[in-house]
Amino acid sequence: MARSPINNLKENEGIAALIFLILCTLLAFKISPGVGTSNLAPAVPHATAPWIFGPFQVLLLYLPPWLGALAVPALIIIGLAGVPWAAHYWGDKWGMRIFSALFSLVLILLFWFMVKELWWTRL
Amino acid sequence: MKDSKETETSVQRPILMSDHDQKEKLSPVHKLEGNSRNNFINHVRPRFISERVLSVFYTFCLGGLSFLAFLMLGITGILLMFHYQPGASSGYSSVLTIGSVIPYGYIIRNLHYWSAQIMIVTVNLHMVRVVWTHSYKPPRQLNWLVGVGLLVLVLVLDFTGYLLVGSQESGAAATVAANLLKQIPGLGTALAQIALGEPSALSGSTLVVYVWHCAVLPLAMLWLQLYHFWRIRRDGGVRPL
Ligand code: HEM
Repeated sequence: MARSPINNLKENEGIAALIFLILCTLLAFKISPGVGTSNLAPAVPHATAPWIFGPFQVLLLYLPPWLGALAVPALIIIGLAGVPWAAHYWGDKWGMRIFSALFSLVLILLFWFMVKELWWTRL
Repeated sequence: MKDSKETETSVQRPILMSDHDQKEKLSPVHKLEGNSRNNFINHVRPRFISERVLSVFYTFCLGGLSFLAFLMLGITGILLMFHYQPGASSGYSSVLTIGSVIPYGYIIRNLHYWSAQIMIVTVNLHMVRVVWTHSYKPPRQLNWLVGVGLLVLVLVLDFTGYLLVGSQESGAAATVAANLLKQIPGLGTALAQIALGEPSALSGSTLVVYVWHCAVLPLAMLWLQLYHFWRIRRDGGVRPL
């Protein structure tokens, strides 16, 4: 008898959960995250943000703080929130276009950060 | 009364439907859901499910994995709380103690860190999947907004977690964040104090950040996630485990 698609999905979700847990455990055993610089050590001249906040650091580097770290991120979040309404009023394609534009912008900034802060400065 | 009986059956026996059949037959379910607005269980086990969404390649399990990561973070986070002490110098030294002295401390800390990193990736991919399958469109627009709220919460949790390390780098990050908040006219200074307390330039670990990171934000996130799941059902959406 063919297995029900629901049970099939449950099994697949179980496998995905296992893979996730194994990956986390392997990473946890193999790679310890850094602890940064002690506050008792001499002051460091430049702090690199964690990769997740790389896009912020890049924006702050080139734009005034109110624009780079408040206005632009706020616009990105508002833009994301508005995707369903953009699709509703201007058509499906616009929902996709706005999301893709915002998401690519963040990815480009992240890439920029990786090259500039994590690679270039270490050469 | 008849409705509540039907509800019970629906809880026990979910029925499979093809996409084609679903269009017509879904309507009684929606009517039924409208009558039992507050019945959480009813939405966790809906009566009808579209066959298309029962493929693992529809969701790629990304929402479920994000929630699993959240649970991992909760468990490892509570374990970390046994030994972590917020404060300008105690924050950093307790992280070192956890990493080198406390039995299994380093593995708990590493698990906490890596689940957080993976969660950022799964949440973002989940959002891409939702856009890919056009699942943000009505009637799911409210759940999309809830999702955006969750995304912001994940980022803020990540940031406050980074501050709690109490290193010089976290001090720099806290100082930048405080200075940014202070730019907001009128409210800025108060906001910075409410959000971060009094971080020093050499350590972002304060009691205020600690309470945000370990209590307020995770509880807000848990509540929002439960609402997110409830809404998935209410909008007639996909079926997680
Ligand atoms: C903590 C973060 C999140 C968790 C734990 C979570 C969890 C889930 C789960 C378990 C599902 C069921 C389907 C699936 O697994 O893909 C789902 C669906 C959904 N999520 Fe999320 N989610 C999160 C963040 C987000 C974000 C950031 C967005 C968008 C901005 C979003 C929007 C949606 C929408 C619209 C649905 C309905 C999709 C459909 O019916 O096909 N979620 N979420």
